[in-house]
Amino acid sequence: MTLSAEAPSTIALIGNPNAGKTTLFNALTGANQRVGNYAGVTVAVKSGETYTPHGRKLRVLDLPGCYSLRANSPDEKVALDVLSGLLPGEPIPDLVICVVDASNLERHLQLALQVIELGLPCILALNMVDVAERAGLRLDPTKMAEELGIPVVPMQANAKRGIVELKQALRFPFPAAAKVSWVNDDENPEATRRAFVAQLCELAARRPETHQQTLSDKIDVVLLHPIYGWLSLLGVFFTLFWAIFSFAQIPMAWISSGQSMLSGWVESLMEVGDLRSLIVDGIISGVGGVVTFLPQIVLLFLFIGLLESSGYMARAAYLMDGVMAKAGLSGKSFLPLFSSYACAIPGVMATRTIGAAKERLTTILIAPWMSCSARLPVYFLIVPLLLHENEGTWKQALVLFGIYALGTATAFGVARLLRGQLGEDITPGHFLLELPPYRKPQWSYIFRHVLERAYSFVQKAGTLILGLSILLWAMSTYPKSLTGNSVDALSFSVMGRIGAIIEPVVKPLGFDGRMGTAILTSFAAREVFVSSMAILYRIEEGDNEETTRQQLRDQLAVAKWPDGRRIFTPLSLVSLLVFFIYALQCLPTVAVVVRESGSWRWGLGQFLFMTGFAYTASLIVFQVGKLMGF
Amino acid sequence: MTLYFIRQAKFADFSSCKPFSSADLSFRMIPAHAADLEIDSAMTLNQAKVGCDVQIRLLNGPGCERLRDLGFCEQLQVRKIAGGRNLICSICGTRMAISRELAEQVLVSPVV
Repeated sequence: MTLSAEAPSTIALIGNPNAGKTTLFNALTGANQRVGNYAGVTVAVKSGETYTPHGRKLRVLDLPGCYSLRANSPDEKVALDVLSGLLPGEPIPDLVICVVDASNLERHLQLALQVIELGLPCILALNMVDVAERAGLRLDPTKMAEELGIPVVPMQANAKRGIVELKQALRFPFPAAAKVSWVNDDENPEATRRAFVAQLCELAARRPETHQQTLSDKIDVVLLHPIYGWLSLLGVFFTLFWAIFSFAQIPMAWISSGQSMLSGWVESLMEVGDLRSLIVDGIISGVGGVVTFLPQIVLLFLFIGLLESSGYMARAAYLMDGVMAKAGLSGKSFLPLFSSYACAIPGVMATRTIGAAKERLTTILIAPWMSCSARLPVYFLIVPLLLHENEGTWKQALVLFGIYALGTATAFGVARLLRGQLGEDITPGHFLLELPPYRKPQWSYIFRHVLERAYSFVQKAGTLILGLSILLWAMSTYPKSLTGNSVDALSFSVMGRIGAIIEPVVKPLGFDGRMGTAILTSFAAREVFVSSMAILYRIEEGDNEETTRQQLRDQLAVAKWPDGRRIFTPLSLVSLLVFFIYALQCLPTVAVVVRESGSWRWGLGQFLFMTGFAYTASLIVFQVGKLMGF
Repeated sequence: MTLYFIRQAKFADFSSCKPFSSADLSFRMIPAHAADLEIDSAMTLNQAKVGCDVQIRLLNGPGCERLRDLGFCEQLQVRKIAGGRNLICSICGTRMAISRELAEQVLVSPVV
C-alpha cells in the first residue's frame, strides 16, 4: 500500500488534434516537445513530470490527438491504448485531462464525452479561450462544469494562463468519475451525445449567429487559390533556400575566420610535430569544417519551425494533394515528407498519422530521399565549387532548389512504382485535414527548439565527428613513409591503402580513392564527409596555413589524378551530388524504419536499395556525361 | 467492392452539376431515411454551390464514421468555401479539407 501511495499518479492529456495538448504539456512540465499549428504533430506518447500546488509529484503523459475513441490511424491507436491500459508498461491513467479548443466546442466535446463515459476521473481544460472570445463566443465554464459533472478550467496554454488553476484542480484526492447523464440505453449513443453537446453549447458557449469572415479566411482566399496558391508555395520554398544561402554567409565567415585564428594560434604555440598536426589538421579542420555549417542548419530549422507554427503546413498539404495523388499518395503524406527535409527520423515517425497501411509504408520508404539537414554541409561544400565562388547567391539557391527537387521527384516516381507493387489499401484513406486558423508563431518555443537542434549539431561535432576526425587523421598519418614526400605519406598510410582498395569501385563514378574513403566514412554520419575531405586533401598539400572552407575548396579545385587530369571536374561533382542525394547513409533512420514498419526486411531492403540506386545513378551520370563530352 | 464504388464515384464527379437523379438516391440511401428527405432539395456536398450554407441531412457510405468524428453530423450547418479536387468547408467555425469521395457521402439541403 505504501508503495502505491508513493509512486506518482499518472495523468494523461487527451483531446482532438491541434487542441493544444503539447503546448499544455510543455507548460506543465517545462519540457520542449515539438508543437506546431497543424493536426498530427505528436505521434507518440511523451511523458514528463509536474507538481501539484502541495508539492506532490505527478507523471504527465502527452498523447497524440484523436477525433474519437475509434482509432483510424496508428497515432490514434497509441492514444487509445494508453487510455485502456493496453500499452505495455503504462498503467491506466489515474486522471485524464481532456483538452478542448474553446472556439470549437461542438466538435471537441464529442471526444470529451466519450472519455467521460470510460469512467475515468476527468478534468476539462478549456484551452484557447482568447481565440473563442475574439470569435465572439460567450463561454460559461461554471454552467459547463455543472452539466458535465467534472471540473472545467478555462485557460490559454500558450500564454501560460490558467496553469495554476489547472494545478489547483489536480489536488488530491482526484475528483471521482462523473456520472454520465446523457446516455440512455435505447438510443444510439452517438446521437444522444450529439444532442447533449448541442444543448450544452446552446447553454454555455453561445456562438454569434452570423458567419464571420475571419482574417484566416481572407488569407486563404489567396494562399489556397489554384494559381496564386501555387505561386505562393513556390515563393515560400524558394525564399527559404535563398535565405539559407545568403543570410548564412555572414555568420559562416565569422566561424571560418575564428577557426583560422585558432589554428594560427595553435601553430604559433606548438612546435612542428605529430601533436600539432593532430590538433590543426585533424581536430580543427575536421570539426571546424562541419561547425561552419551551423548557421545553415539553424536557419533551416528556424524556417521550418515558422512554417509549422503559422498554420501554413496544412495549406501546403491541401495544395500538394493533387501532386501526391499522381505518386499514389495523398496530401496526408506531405506533412511527414516535409518533416523529413529537417530529419528523416521524425518524418518516419510522423507517418503514423496516415491511416492507410500501404500508403504509410510507401511514405516511410521514400522519406529518406527528402534531403535532410545532414546533407546540407555536403551540398554547401560542393555547390559553390560547381558554380565558381562569385556567382550570385540566387544561382546557388537555384541549384540547391534543384537538388531538393531531384530527390523529391525521384521519390515520387519510386512511390508510384511501389504503390503499383503493393496494391491498393483495403480501406482507402481519404484526404481529410483540418485547416487551423493562422496563428502567430510561438517564438519562445521556436527559439528553444532551434537552440536545441543547434546544440545537438554541435554536440555531434564535438563527439562523433571529433572522434572520427582523430581516427581519420591517425589513419591518414600512420604508418609513416620514410621518404618524407607528402603524396607518398598518404598512399603509405592505412587510409591510403584503404583508398587504393576502394578506388576501383568508385572510379567509374568519377571519384578517386580519397573521395571513396570519405564516402565510406560518411556512412557513420553524412557530415563526416566534409571532415574527411578536409583531412584527406589537406595532407597532400602539406601546408599548415589557414584552414578555412575557402581553402578546402581551393585545394579540391586543384586536386589531380596521377596523370594530371583534374579530379573535380563539374561532371564528377554532379556525380558526387547525385550520390549524396540518393544514398541512405544514416543508421538511426534504418533503425526507426525497422521499428515503424514492423519488419527488419523493409529497413534493410530500403538501405540496400537506396545505396545501390545512388551508386547506379552516379555511375550513369558520370559515364553518360563522359560520353557526351563533359 | 466498396473500393469499386468509390472509383465509380470519382469518375461520375466530372458532371457534378448534373441534377440529382432519384436512381442515385435509392442506391445511396437506407430506404427508411429516404422518406424523411425532400428529394427535390437534397444533393451531395459536391453539388452544393461554393459560398452557400447548407444543412447536413444524411451521411451514408463507408467514410461516414470518420466524417462524424470530424464533426460532420446530421443537422449541422456547413458552409462550402471551395470546390475542386478537395473541398473546403467551414463547420462549427473550423475549416476542413475533405476529398470529393468523402463529400459524395454527405447529403445536404440548402438552408432556408
